[in-house]
Amino acid sequence: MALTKNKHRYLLVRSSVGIDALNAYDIKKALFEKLGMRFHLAALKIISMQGNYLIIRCSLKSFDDVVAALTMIKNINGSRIAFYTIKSSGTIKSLQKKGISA
Amino acid sequence: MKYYDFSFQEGIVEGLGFEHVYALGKDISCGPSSKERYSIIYGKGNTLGYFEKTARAVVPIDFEIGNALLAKLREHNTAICLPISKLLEASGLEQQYLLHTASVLASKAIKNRVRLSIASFAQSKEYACSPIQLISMAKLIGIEEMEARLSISEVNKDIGGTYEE
Repeated sequence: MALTKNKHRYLLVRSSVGIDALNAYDIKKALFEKLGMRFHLAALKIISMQGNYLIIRCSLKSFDDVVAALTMIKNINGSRIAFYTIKSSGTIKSLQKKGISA
Repeated sequence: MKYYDFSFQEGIVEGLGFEHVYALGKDISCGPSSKERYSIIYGKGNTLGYFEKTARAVVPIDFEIGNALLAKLREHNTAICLPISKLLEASGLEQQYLLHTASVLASKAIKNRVRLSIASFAQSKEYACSPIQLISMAKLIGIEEMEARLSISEVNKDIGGTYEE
């Protein structure tokens, strides 16, 4: 039986305020509130968080849902925040290259 | 009034009569006395009925447009601009209702062959959207990817470009 490979997309996301006070769980929780029952399909992973930028990995199939959910997040733990998806890529290496050039 | 948008087109902002723009990380001041002012009409769906024939786009902030107005828009080749920030400003049940009305309007516009444009029309940085986000939000309200890409590129450029009578 051949297993199909799960394809991923990596998103470079900028936040409106610094995210040093937040942890990956807070962001995942906010995304869970927006995605609801489709959260498990997204296969989310926060790859890195630095300053105002974070890299998120999600499944290719739920890419649009994740971007829309990120757009709709307006507060986390009572503080106002907004996320802007700047770039997306199939590999983390090319995302970092794109991010540097941008 | 200030206007914040990542997918900024010069003519759109001037058409609305806004005086200040925050786009792509830059603060841009628009001249208050522009010839293109108010060629894009912004308001609730029921107030857009008496739009000028010269208008390049109408922006229904409540996502409601009647069939008669849709026919008129098609006749004059006027685009409907969907303000995505209005969907983001709402929350809970109100947001779900707006998503529903936006999807109904989008499908009606596509069915009637009225041009669709998508812009954030955000009036604060928090509600601004990048082009990727605009496409995802358009898909969320049932617009196909190709149509969404056209809406944020060609249609927006057409609205923002110089108007010829």
